[in-house]
Amino acid sequence: MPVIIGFIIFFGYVLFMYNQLVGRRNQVGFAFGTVDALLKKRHDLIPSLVAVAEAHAKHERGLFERIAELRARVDETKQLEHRSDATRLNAELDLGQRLDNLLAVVESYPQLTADASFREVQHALVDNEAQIAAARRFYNAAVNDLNNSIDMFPTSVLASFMNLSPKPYFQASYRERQAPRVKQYGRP
Amino acid sequence: MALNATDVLTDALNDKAALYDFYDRELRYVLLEQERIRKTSKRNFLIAAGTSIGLLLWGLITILPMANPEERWWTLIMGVAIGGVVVRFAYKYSSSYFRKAFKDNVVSRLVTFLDEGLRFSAHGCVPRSYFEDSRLFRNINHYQGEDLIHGEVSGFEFTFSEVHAQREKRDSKGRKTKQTIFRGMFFAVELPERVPTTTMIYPRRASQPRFSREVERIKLEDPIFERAFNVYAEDQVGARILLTTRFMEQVMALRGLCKQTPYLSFSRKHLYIAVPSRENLLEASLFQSVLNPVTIRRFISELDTVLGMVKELHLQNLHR
Repeated sequence: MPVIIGFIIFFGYVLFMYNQLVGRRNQVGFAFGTVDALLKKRHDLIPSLVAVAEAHAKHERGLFERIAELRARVDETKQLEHRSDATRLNAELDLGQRLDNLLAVVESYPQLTADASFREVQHALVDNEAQIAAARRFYNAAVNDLNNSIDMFPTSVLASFMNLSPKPYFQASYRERQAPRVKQYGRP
Repeated sequence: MALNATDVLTDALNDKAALYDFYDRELRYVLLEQERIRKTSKRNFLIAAGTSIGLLLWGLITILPMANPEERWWTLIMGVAIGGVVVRFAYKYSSSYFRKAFKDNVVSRLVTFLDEGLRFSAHGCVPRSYFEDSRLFRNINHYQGEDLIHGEVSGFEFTFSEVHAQREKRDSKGRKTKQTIFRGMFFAVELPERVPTTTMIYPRRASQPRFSREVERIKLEDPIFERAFNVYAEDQVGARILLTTRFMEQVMALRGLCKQTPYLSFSRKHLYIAVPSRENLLEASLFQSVLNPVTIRRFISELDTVLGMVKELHLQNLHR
């Protein structure tokens, strides 16, 4: 009898650990899906920004170069869709930095920043970047939970049977690590 | 010209000359009248309390020798308890007119002086619908409050009041009892945009209601914040848009300022802040002269704390 009770407790515990690992793996998948949707939105918004900026950048060599760089990077990033998460996240990080650079440079072009359509796209992009930052934190929290389970005993044993491997973190972009820009809440 | 509340508060607290100038120009005559009312109320209280205690003592002296030795202690304790209740009642009754007049004539002037945009109502209170909309507290049966302040701080419209919310419970014998759910300061700050998701921030040690399945616990990356608060929301990303690392730091600063762990909630177009407190703010005492500048400084300091709580969150940087 005690052997049977012991077996039931053991089986119950293994089942609990298994469900916990599956839940955490799914949470990472869900969080990555959220990040992915927002990154795709960014890919859709950048060409609009580029189109508006290009019209003003014909005679501005520095700005033109940055726009060309950004456009090329968007195309490259789109082609990485079937590569590993880590490769994609690194490419997105790089794209985010180039976008930050462009947004920083356009501050010195008052004609461009005064353009209503540019401001509209810029506002949408800035909002989207805030959502990406929040989704990134959600993804990293989910990854942290999963990675801890994979590395810690006794869940590590079950994780190896389930072929679970640690997931990469999505690092903060350079801009996010800087002091936040002063931007009025709700005012573009 | 509308004065900037914060500048005036800082001036008033740090610059004695500014305080005395305001005192001389705006308050002296009002305070002289209030002081007269205070003295009359105090005299009435002392007469009422003295007479009651005298009668009670006379009763005790008469009854105690006649009581059984084992009942004497109980009679004495009952006498002291009745005396306490009578004195308390006499104080409340005698001081009510003075306290009301003081709030209407002095506190309201003080609030308007600090910022012409601020409005004070001694008997007003944050609407119950706001309190319920915060979703921080549930099953409210009795709701009351006082000392409503309405105005703008750092470009955000806000409403503040002291609030006491209770729920009815039945004890084992089926008798109705009132249980306090929340007592303290409650703020409703209007935001320019609808928030992405309802987000509730509870002190970690406070009792937390049971949520529906859709509401998740949000684990945040700031360990200091996580030790002090539990966050719940329906949308993991939406909650993190609101709770940036900077906002979390500001909530911790607010916690330091009010010396209590506050409750916060984002709902629809509002940020709600609930700070538990047993202290009754903006109440004048019968036993302290209102002509004493220390009294006015205490009121300014209390208002400074109230307005500072909204300011401390630096809401202009919210969402970024």
